[in-house]
Amino acid sequence: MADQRWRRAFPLVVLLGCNGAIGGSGGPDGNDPFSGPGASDVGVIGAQVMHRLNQTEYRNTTRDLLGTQLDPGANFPADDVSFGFDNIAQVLTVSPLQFELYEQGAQELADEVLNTGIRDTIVFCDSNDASCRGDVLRELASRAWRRPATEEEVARLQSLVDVALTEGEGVEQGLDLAIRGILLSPHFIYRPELDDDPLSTEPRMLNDYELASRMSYFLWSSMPDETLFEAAASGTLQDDVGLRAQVDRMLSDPKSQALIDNFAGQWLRIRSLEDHVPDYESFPQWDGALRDAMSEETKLFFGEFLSGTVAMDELLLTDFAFLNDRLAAHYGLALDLGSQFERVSLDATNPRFGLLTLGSLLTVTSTPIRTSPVKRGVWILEQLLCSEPPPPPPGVEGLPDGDMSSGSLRDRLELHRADPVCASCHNLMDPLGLGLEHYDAIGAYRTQDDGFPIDSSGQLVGGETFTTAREMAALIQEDERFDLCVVEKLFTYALGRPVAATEHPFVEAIAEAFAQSGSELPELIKIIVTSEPFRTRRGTLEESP
Amino acid sequence: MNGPKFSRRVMLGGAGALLSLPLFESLMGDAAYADDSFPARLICYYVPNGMHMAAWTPAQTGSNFELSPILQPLAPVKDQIIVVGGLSNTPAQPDGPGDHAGGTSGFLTAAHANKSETDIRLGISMDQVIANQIGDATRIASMQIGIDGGGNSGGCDSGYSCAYSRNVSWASDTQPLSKTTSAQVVFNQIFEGTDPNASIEEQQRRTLYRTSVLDYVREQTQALESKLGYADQAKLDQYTTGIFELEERLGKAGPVCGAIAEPSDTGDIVEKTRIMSDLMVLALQCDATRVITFMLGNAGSNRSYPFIGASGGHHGYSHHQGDPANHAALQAIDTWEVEQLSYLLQRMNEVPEGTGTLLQHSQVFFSSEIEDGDAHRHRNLPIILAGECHGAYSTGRHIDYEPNKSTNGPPIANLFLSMMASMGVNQSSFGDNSTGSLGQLA
Repeated sequence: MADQRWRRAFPLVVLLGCNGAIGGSGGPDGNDPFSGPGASDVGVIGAQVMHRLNQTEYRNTTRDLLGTQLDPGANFPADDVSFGFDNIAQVLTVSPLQFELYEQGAQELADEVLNTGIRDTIVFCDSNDASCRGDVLRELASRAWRRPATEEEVARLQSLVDVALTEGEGVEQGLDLAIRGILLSPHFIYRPELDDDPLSTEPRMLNDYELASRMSYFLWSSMPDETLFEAAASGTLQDDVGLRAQVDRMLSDPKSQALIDNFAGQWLRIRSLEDHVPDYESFPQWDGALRDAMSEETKLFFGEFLSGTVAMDELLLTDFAFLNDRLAAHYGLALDLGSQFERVSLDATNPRFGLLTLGSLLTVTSTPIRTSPVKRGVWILEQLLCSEPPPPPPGVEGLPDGDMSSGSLRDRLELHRADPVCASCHNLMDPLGLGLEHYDAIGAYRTQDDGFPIDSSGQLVGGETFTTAREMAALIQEDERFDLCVVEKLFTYALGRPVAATEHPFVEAIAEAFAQSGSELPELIKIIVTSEPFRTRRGTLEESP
Repeated sequence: MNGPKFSRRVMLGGAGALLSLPLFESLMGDAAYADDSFPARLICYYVPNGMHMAAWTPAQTGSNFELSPILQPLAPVKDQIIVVGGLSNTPAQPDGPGDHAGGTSGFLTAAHANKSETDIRLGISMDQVIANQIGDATRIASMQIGIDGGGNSGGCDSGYSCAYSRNVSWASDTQPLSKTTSAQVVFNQIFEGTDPNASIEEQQRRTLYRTSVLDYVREQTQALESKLGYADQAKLDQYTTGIFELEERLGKAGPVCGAIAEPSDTGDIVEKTRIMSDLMVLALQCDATRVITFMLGNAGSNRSYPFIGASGGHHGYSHHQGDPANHAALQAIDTWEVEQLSYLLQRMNEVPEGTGTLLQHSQVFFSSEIEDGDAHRHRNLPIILAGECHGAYSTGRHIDYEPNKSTNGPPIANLFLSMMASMGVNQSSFGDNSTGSLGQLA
């Protein structure tokens, strides 16, 4: 698919190592039973595996369910990541340790609910009355499991209360057990989408509650709220108008910040900023305040796109930046700013002009002691164009970190391209990364690299030339793969699974509708939410689809 | 308020400080002083990015070997280790690039990972084969511990899911066992269910409650499973296993190996590694478990070690290209790693058990996912096997199983067969390519 879009700035070229390997992300799923010839003409949605709440979703869901600030999930083992995201259902497993921590978490949360001010919001009637307890448990279980609990299920929860009563303990202890049961139920930890026939592989429309959960975990990384549950109950999620209205409402809720933290944070890899430690001797000016400022800048920047204020086709070329005094000084911009961030207009000569010049991005794509044009180039290919080049063969990877005396980084990188084995891929990556050499390993602007003047000009494999990073950004922004890549990344995140081989017609249709609509991110979210892959599910007979 | 008011956690002593204490004297009766009444125990210790082999491999083999520069920190326990060279792990060879993921997933499985971001298939790891057989004897069948959870964003290695890069224990070919990187969690695992302030009746009632909740969850899980397709059933099986293991654990008494304070979690790797080492010793000492895997980093870790003069990333250095500056940084990092191992071994050696020590009753396997970080080789793996494991091994030696470094030596799967046998687990084959247990160790 990517190969068809391989034109304009990056026309298809036959290269040694990189020939045919481009377009790795969202590649064909070899086990898909529908991947036969012809299927791609119409598109068949990919198989869905039952999703487990990841660490973030567990935290947000318990927060929204109970109103607690307690986060037992903070100590859960890290979720495994595939396709760059930590919400991919196939690799969200449960080990015995993870289960044990769920059990402890349920105990801690139940204690918290019953022993704090939270209690009266959950236990809203006289719990000495058995029918009140039934109401309390029905309400809590229905919200926790994100669909109405059956009377049978409520009765079984009541029997947990009875365990404590039989022991001669009070109702509170009984409620404690029932709440633990609700929070340790697989209906809470997982998001089951049940088919009438579990062995069916026919696509079917999701029911209202399943769809509500897909929406809330996509937009909020959390459970549906009351309004969304009501929309599900009243059937208004089954038409485009109702879905679109909900998306608008949900995006205006502060919980949609989750899309910045979790989608953008992972897509743009800026979450890595937390773990990145630039070398103190090379960068003594680096500190927590600068890191926080970069993080804030990035969130505010992406927020402009998430709100629809700025269209995605300006992501790489903006005429604004969010800055405060510290960051402006770091960037060498003479602006009169305070510690609060402000949206600043920038003219077309400013060295800050959008995504590629964010300090966060420039920092995480560097090593602790120097820039890495290769990393930066790979990042652009992989995250913005979905065209990841293969890693180098053994024995040829890497550039010595220590010795910088033998010339500029550009000179030393020329070695890659002198060797034809290296050149096939490095001709793709290096010019992109070298175009950003004016920005050092913590994103500050510079004119020299260790005494050598910086030359940020370059030529892409398609022959296009640029002299500045800004010109390069324009070439990338215009590349046809960019739109498709944005769609692929968001689709993967939205569904918590990769784009299946049979699904590309859907993705291409979404990308086309997105481009025609004016390229605003909220519109893309609506297009995805109303798309067939998002609203339907297909089971699988494979154990590991 | 009549709600539950007990704290699950054992909070004794001063906050933060971790005290070591002699305990087997009180734990075991007089009859327990015979060494063979102490169980055999296993730690598998993973370090990332291979080793700088020129400074790793001792010049001599046999018992008259001198410690190489990187192995110097092991001087206090030199007579308790075997430096093992020449073994290969050819199944760990990835399909194309991905040596860190392939080497890490093959680290204890000697199995070939299916290259995929979603279709995770590997094989059971040797620690889990052992845990399956002896895990019933302890409250915790096995523990998985590490230092790094995972980078906060980004892929792992060349089309391999991060599951392959972050886990070395595999319960089955499709289930990696995620590790905890929290000292608090490890502590709670060891002491979970122990509350000296609660009466026996109180403790029994708590267990009854937990069992009741677990019964309920198992019912729900079974009911749900019957409505799922095969793929989702396989996922839910993991949940059922978790319920089962916890239920088993509730039936067993908690450790009575004395009081220590709950450790706090720290981001400082030096401090954190020391705390985790102390906790591993404690877990074995208290017989909370007999099988532990530990990852000092994840596959291909690019951590920097400014406190020993290695400010660049570890993975970056490991692609040394023969540069002496990179070699020096690698040697510093590798030596630091071996120091951490040495600390653990010395601590184990300080725990008296009958006429011997915990270390003498244990085996500690230390290695990396590859040999040289630049060449990404899966042969001549750098290995330390420490502890006699009740006389199963004659320690204080350097054994080189394949002096020709361009040839694949005996499969590491053979060593794993021997290590399993030392724990009383006898199998005729293991992994993708075992040919029989490894000689020369006894």
